[in-house]
Amino acid sequence: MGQFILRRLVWLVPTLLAISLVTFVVMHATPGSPLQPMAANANPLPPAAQQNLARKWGLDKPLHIQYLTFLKNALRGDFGTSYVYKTSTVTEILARTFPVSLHLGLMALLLAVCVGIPLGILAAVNQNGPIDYLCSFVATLGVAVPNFVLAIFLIVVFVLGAGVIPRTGGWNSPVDWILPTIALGLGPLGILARYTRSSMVEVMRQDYMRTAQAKGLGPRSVVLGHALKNGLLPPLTILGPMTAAVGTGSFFVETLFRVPGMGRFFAESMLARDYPMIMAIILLYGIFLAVMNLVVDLCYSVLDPRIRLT
Amino acid sequence: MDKHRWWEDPEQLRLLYKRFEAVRADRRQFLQIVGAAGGASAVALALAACGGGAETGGDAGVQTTPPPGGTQAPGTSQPGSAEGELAEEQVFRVNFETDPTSHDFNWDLYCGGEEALFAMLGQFDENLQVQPDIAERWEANEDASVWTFYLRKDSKWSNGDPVTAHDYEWSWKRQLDPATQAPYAGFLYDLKNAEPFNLSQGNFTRDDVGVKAVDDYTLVCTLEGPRGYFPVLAAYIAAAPAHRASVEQYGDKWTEAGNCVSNGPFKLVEWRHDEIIVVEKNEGYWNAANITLQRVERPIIASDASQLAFENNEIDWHYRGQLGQLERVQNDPELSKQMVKYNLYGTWYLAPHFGMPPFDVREVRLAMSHAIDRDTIVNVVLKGLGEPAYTMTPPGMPGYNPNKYEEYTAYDPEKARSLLKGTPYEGGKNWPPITLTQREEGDAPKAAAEAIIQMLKENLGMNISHEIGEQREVYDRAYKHELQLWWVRWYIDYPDPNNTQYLVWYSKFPTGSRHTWANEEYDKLVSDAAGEKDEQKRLDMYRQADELMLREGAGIFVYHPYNYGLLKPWVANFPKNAQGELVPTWNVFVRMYDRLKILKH
Amino acid sequence: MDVLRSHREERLAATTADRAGLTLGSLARPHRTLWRDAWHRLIANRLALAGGIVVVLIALMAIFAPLIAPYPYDKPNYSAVSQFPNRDFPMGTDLTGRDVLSRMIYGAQVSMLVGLGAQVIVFLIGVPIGALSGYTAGKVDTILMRFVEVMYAFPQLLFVILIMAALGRGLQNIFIAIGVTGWVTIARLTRAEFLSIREKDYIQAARAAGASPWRLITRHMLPNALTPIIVALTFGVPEAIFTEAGLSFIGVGINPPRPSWGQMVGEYYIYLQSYWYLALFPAIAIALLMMSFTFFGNGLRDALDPRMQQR
Repeated sequence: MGQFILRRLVWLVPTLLAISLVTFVVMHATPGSPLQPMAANANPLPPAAQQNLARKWGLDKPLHIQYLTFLKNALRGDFGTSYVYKTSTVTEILARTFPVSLHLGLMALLLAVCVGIPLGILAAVNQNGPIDYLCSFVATLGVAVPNFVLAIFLIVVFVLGAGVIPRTGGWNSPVDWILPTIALGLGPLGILARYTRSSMVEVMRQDYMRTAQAKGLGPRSVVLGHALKNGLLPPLTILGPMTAAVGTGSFFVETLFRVPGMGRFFAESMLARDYPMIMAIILLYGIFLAVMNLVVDLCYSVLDPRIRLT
Repeated sequence: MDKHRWWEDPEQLRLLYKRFEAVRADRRQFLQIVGAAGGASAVALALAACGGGAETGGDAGVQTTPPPGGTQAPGTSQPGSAEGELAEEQVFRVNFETDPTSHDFNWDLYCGGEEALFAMLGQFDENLQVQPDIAERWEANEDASVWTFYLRKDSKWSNGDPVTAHDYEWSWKRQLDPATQAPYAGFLYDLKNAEPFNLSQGNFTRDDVGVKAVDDYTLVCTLEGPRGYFPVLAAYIAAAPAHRASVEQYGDKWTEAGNCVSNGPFKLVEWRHDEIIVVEKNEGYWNAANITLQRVERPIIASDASQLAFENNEIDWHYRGQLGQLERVQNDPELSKQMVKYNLYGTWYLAPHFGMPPFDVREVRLAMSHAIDRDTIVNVVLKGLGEPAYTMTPPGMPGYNPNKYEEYTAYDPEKARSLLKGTPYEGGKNWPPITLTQREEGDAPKAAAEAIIQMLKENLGMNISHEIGEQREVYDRAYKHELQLWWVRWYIDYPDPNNTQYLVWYSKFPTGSRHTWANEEYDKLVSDAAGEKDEQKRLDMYRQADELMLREGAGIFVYHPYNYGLLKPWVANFPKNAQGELVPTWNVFVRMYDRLKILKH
Repeated sequence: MDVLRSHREERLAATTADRAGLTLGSLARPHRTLWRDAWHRLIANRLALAGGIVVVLIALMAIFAPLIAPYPYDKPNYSAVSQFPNRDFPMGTDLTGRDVLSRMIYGAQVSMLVGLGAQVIVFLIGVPIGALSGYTAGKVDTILMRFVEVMYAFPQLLFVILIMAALGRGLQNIFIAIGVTGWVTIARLTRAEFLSIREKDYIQAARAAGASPWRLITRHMLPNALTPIIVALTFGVPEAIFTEAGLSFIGVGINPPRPSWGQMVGEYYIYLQSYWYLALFPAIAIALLMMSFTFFGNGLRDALDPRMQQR
């Protein structure tokens, strides 16, 4: 097991290298210069100043040199200064925003897991019963209603309408956490419920389940003892990348609820051609994802010993 | 020629334009400032300076002395002051749409920060006139090549340090220092040796730059030559100072909360990134006694969410009303009272390409004008947020032409179709593919464009596809004259038809013309009008030009846009210009907070 | 694994995995293929049938939109601007008086194309790679998974914008952008299923019985792995629809006045307080499409599952 983890971590290095190289190449091949200011009221920068800036950021050097410089600095944890937020380094910005996104993401994930998985199990046990339909309904709602619509809906109903929540957004007190958590968590909740249900249904049809039943095991212990272990494998696969996606923030939810997280950079950095920020969030996402997948694979091997860890 | 009346000197205007060009403050902003200082005749000259072709000789005037504007303290002489009892807590709340990159205007004028933190030597008032600020007066030598600013002795930085001439000397040199790599340093190239120092040419050092504090309160600026407009530069936000001790201690981070020391009417007390910025009155600022607001809270709220925040009473001023919410706002007993409609002083129009079929046929262009129902667009599509446009200059401006020219603009589908008789498109047939292009700019222009496309389809049988592109991409293609049918607006910079007619439609600018229409008679009319001293004659010339445009179908003018904002009833004394229009803070006028008062609520 | 057990399981697997067609067909009905049999099971499942019918109906609606829609999708009606749902306009009208119902009917065109079309690309790329990887589970798997891992590590939103910025606007580029970024999930899922299935006794049995890899994958493993794949594809439908809507915001999507459901939701959601119905109906349509697709997908899976006929 330890060897397995080690191998995976060693493998992470070439993976990250490949990720960074692909991103670097595509990013530089995409039309649009990062040298122009991003602010809405800003006018374009004159050519001389552009050259100055290019020199400052090392954009005047050949691409392969730029890439090597990037690698050298990145190894020391230095991703450079953001082209948009010119007075902050990318590391500073991410150190400030990533924990907030992670916090919100984990709360949303917790909501999704705690409600979604039991809902899926109940639905599978009561196939075609009311709970099953409820599960279908919630799952459909979670996925078919995008989080930006949900966000506005929640604000209109709970802030302006009922007045249960005092503010439309912010990140000051736990009260501010409620609505963004729901808006962000409902989608994953729906997905998890669906996956759990269908995989549980699948497992309960397997022959060994029937064998277990034939052996006289009661429905409850059948479900908990046998089906659960196997039925949770597919949702588990999803949980890894889901954590990575939800834990790094959502552009819409964070913008609409004024959550000071990193979600907006996934759209903004690309639109602004903020090269250092793009590289940093791609790598951060890549590492986070790899770690989550590693965790998932470990859980896999625990739940299903037949899967060999290679 | 009197170098102090810089707006009358083509050479001076050319130099000033170069400065503006260096910071890429566009031509409109430049002309706006010139217009504010010297009126229309100055603008005509300025146009010549920035590549226009107006042949007007400035008269060598010697009447007045600089600076333009008096030395009266602004904020003390507001027309229409607050009625009612003031609230105990003078707090104003308005959102930022995105987190600023810093508040370091001295380094990057587009940092997106809070302008109220800093005070320049001068300031712009609501009518864009330069007024004294940190400098209580200034004077120049004979040819306006050396300017001396006399600073107030009673203004302090937010940490209690006195604001001195050394601050400005150091700050401007900081901006120019090549090590600082300030992107818009070109703004200060009028200072002697500033350009070679900034570009590291020759052996120029800081000490060679032509700005010197001769004592704590006297700043002498030695320029590359006569620059009568220099006070305009000194009042612009790019000339804001930085606090030396803070910069030296904190480097790039000197405008973070806790580090930031500022000399403006307000000081930074809190900045939680992506959450909120809070500024409070700087009691050391010379005019603090006349500023009522104690505190401004600026949560970071994206535009999509700001109306919700306003309705939940989290902000006092929501400046970008959405068309899709207007009906509800108007029907709401409370919101309708808080709604503030304001003229955007602009014109939305169709610019057909004169070299591309079918618009190379004059009758087609004329027919289009009769096929568009402007009243419906304004009253129904825009829900009243606009006025029908028949000519280029918007209402409320001097030189507005009230004539509707119904023979060219009346909505008359029959007439429109009959105009096509004898053309290849008779009976609304044989149209080539047509594309209408606009930049992404919110819901109202898009809805209007969709309506226009339908009207042209219905009345003339045109099949037009609608293309919405990114701003820069569309403007690039437009100036390369690649757009077949351009749906575009012009916002007024300064109150004169010269702006709307000459600047937009004149065809002989060496830097390239905005539109494809070129007409000798028109070009002569509008360039001559700029130099015409007789006001009535001048306006007549513009009216002739108006009619000429309609006769030729140069453009199809559709509507003059308005917008609305929402303002809480307890916010009083909102700045207004001489025309009575609301003037919120923007690039040039940045002193809105100084005027505001909060009533008891 | 002892010989006896494997022998027993081989026989078991032969009956279960080697298709009901054989047993069932030899018992009752004349010669029947797997797919025909599956078809019969599918139409016997009422929910799946309903789902399938709705999907087909929406597709037909998209195809015959000009015939069905009561009003044109692009023609404003200024005497009926922003009306709430009423008798003339069952879903109300938008800000320029265009009938929301008609726009919904036309909007099905782009949304069906984007929603389903992108999933086809995702399926065609993702499943073969995942299957190959999971089936071989050796060096090929390692190499493929490295590749998948690299592709997977790109945040979707950022990568879609990147691709659209490079390719330019247009419907076909939206397909490509969504397809190229979406297949990885399916590939991983397929692989995980295959890894699990390949250890199952009936596969071991079939393999021992000399089934070719192709037959093993298509006949034995894929049908059993289909459930999560179908679920994932189902979720991909609304995701693609909303990605398309999001791209329109940035100025790289399709141009007006051509409507799509995602765009209708995206354009009007901020007016929820003023005109709730503008965003509500297209959102319901997306939910309906997805739900139908889910039921149909579940039914399809059941139909393809040989064990089902034993109940």
